[in-house]
Amino acid sequence: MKKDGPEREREVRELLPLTPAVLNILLALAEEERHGYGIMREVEGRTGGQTRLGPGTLYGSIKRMLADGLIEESAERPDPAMDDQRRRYYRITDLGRRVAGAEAERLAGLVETARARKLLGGRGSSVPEGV
Amino acid sequence: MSRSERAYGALFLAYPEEFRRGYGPQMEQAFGDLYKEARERGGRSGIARLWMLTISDLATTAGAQRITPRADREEVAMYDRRLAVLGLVLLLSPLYFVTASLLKYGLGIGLLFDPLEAFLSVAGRRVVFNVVSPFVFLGGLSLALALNIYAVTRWNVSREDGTIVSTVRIKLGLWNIAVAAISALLLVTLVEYAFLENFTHR
Repeated sequence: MKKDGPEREREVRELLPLTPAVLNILLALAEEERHGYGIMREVEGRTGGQTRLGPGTLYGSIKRMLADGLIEESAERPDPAMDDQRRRYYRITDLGRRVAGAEAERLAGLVETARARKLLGGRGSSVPEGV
Repeated sequence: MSRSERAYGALFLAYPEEFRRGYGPQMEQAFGDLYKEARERGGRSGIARLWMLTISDLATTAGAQRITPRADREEVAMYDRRLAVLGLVLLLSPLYFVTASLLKYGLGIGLLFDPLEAFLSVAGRRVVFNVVSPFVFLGGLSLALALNIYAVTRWNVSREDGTIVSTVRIKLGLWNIAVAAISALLLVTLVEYAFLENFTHR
């Protein structure tokens, strides 16, 4: 059954706010399908090593995200010949994209508030860029 | 398989069985990949850093998986629907009684009340009805109300920096709200009726 606008919006709102691990996993999968280790590498690379997901955090989050419908297992294997058959690939769902977008907007709102209160944005700010 | 990978396999028993069954091979494989990378990039110090990350990760997540095995949303929704159905069953008899009484004494329509009266006219039945009905009506309605309020409001109490923090999350389950509202309405009607019957001067 297709859900209408307000119901879809409510569905997204119920899942917010996201934990940093869940948001990072969604960001990693927004680009392409990845397996667990691939997600770990992407997150570590993108955050310059500041965020490292351990296997427990990663798969604990994946379990919850699968249950919430934010991601799904992919049947396709990008390169079967080069890959271990035990690996499972994950891809972001439409709901996952909407939830990640809503969370990013929520965080952008917080950043705007911080900027308006002169907590960041200026040269010499103690907050590093890109955080 | 390296000693580190074997040790991780042993420590992995800290996770609950259901989690191990679902994600064990993947997690062990991910640890194996991390181990190879750490050894190639940083040698012994790289492996030491990996173990520090792994132990803190395992300590937090194994506990969390054991303490709060979170039901998925479908399970919670199914559970809430069951509470709504149970509440509906519990409020059926008081709903029938109140509707029948209002129709009979308010509008003079005995369609529902007359069969009840005929049933109770048999010797002994009225005594049983008078004893049992307050428990069935008031008890059933109170239970239906409590169960469906529980389904709509999710309470969570936690301790943060020595302070007890309580949060309430409202879930707009229409069936649960409808059952809770009807139960409350019937409960008020019956209590008011009982009060008027027993405590007013005639």
